[in-house]
Amino acid sequence: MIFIFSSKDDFTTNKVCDWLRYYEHQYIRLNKETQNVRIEEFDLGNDLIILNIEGYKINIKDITAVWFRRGGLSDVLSEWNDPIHIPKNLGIIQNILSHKIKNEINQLALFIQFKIENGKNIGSYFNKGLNKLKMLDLAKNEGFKIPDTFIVSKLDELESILSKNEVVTKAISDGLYEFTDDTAYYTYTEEINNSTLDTFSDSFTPSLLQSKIQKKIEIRSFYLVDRFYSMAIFSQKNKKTSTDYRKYDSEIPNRMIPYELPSNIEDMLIRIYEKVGLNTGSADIIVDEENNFYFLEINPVGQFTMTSTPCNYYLEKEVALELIRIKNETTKGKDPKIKKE
Amino acid sequence: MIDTKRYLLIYTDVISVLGAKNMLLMDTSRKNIYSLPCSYFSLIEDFRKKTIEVIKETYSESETTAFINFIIENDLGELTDSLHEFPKISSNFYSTEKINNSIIEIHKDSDINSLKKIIQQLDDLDCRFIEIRSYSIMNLALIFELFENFKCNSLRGITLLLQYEDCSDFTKKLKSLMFKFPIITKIYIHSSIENKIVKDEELFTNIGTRIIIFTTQKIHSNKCCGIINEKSLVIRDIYGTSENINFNSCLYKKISIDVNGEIKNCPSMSKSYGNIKSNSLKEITANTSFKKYWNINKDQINICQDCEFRYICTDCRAYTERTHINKQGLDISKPLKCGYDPYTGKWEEWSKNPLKAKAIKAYENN
Ligand code: SF4
Ligand code: SF4
Repeated sequence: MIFIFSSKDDFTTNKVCDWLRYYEHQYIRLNKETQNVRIEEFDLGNDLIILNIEGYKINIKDITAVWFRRGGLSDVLSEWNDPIHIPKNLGIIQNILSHKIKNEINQLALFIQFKIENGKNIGSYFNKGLNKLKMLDLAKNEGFKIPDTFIVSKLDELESILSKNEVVTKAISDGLYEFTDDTAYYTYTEEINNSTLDTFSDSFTPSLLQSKIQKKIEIRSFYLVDRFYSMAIFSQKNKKTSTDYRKYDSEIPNRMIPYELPSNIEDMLIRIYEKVGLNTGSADIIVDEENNFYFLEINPVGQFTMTSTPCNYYLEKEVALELIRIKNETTKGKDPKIKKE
Repeated sequence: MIDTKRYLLIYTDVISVLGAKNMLLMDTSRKNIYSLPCSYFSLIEDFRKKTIEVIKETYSESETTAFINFIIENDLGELTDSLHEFPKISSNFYSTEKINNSIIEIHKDSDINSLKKIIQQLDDLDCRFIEIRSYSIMNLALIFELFENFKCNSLRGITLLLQYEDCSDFTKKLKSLMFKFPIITKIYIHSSIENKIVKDEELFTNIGTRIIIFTTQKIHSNKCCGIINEKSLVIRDIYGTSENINFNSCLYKKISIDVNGEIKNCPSMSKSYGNIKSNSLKEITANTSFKKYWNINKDQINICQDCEFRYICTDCRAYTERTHINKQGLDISKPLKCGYDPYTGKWEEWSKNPLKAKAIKAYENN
């Protein structure tokens, strides 16, 4: 059976599931909000690991294709077993013990996650937090140009870099991406210049600075098992047009159309994906006026709907078909039905 | 000065459609359309592969420059060093839902349980949009009751078409209806005393704007549907445009239930495939004959196939000029209620066209 790790209401996952239903393939979708996940049986010697997900008993041996988009077992398993069995009033050791128990559960969850994915997966829990700096370093070694990249934590260092470069700052780890009922909080790449300088104190958390590239186009390229689906984004800035854009609610949307990366660039990307063991991802690249390709980052779970929709790529259908292909390869056509207890 | 060794990239989401006299440039991302004489079609084709220099060998200097300026000014393209990295956008269309949209006719004596059943069945067929129409005054309480406790999985929006009612709190009632059931995204009120649009703060929800449109137009029966004029032409995004290129732009994945419970392609068509009292919508949808018009796109319709508006136009199959039938026995005549002549590029009042008199009479007697 096909197994999907995601979150509730995720639009892209909904669309992939629509396609799986359309092709009449059963799937289990484990959202990170799910409360009711238990280990029913665990007997490694006999290859028996059975999960109970909201009443469905799943022998993980029967999982024949996996798509990791969000969440993962350690998110949901640790929920049901909050450390409740530690005697009270143990003093200092109380915290250490509680931490230990969490770690026990986590190791268990990671192992089961690993067994579930087991080489028949698109995307992986173990790659969800790619190190941005490591990726930049890899890209540079493969022959990509990368923007000048600095880490600073002092105002005077920042000032000296600003005197020579136009720079932007962004998160070193994953950016913030949180939604409450009425507000969306997210971090994005922000320009730093002399006028924003006085908002900094003398020293601050080590922060990533990158020189600004004079971009001709921006490219977002989704990669799925040996194929690239790329999109060119033309920035609206600096454009003089006579069209009346008042009908748009906010600013004028950027023009986004299908794009084909040069084959040497695709080869470089493939080598990067192979080095980190990814078979899918979404790469951000900038092309400057001299046609240099600058590598920015790779998002291992890839917001591919934003590439798919303007380019008419039907990537959700492609992901569903790839899952079906993996499943057929693993089961050779024999797949047990999912039954509810 | 333009460097003539370069190319003019006309963005690939800007699609050109050739008509008999004129052509249309459809900017599917910005949702704008531009009418041009059809002679520009080959110029655009040339720009999609040749340098400006080469184009100037065939077309005059001033014509080429004027066209380049037109494209750039309207943000339909820009100058570039090469074109090969911008492949043509695909116009393939795929969808997963068994039914996409539906029209349900109701009146004040409609049976609430049967309506509930219809909506539930539509949701089960993955239906995304429902239009509920009433040509006479409705008891709004019935509509409140209809959606009470209703849980939907597939539905994305419901539109209501209702008759204006002369009571002081009519608008207030409509607003509270929308507030209570956010699935209702739009309400049209026909036969109103004035034309107005209500779109105020109370109607904003976190899932989008809600809007009430009042019109003085009288929509007294389903015979009012199918009118094609410059206002009815709507450009859709690349997804919707691709749907129109490949499938029937009105009837594809549509199912309708008329006021008597008859299950049809559209309420205005006479052919019924069953009745909601004895048939399920699912079984009707499985009937291939029910789907026969779904694959009739505008490229197969007489006259429309020569019209530059063919991918932004509704292909009405309920009212046609009744002049052409294809090999499968399907009506492929031009929609009756269209006054456009693609051979002259002019719009006229359709009902005054003497050539349509016979077809108009045929529908009147129905
Ligand atoms: S076929 Fe014609 S009458 Fe029927 S819904 Fe479409 S436009 Fe209206
Ligand atoms: S009905 Fe046919 S002729 Fe009339 S505008 Fe539409 S496509 Fe053109």
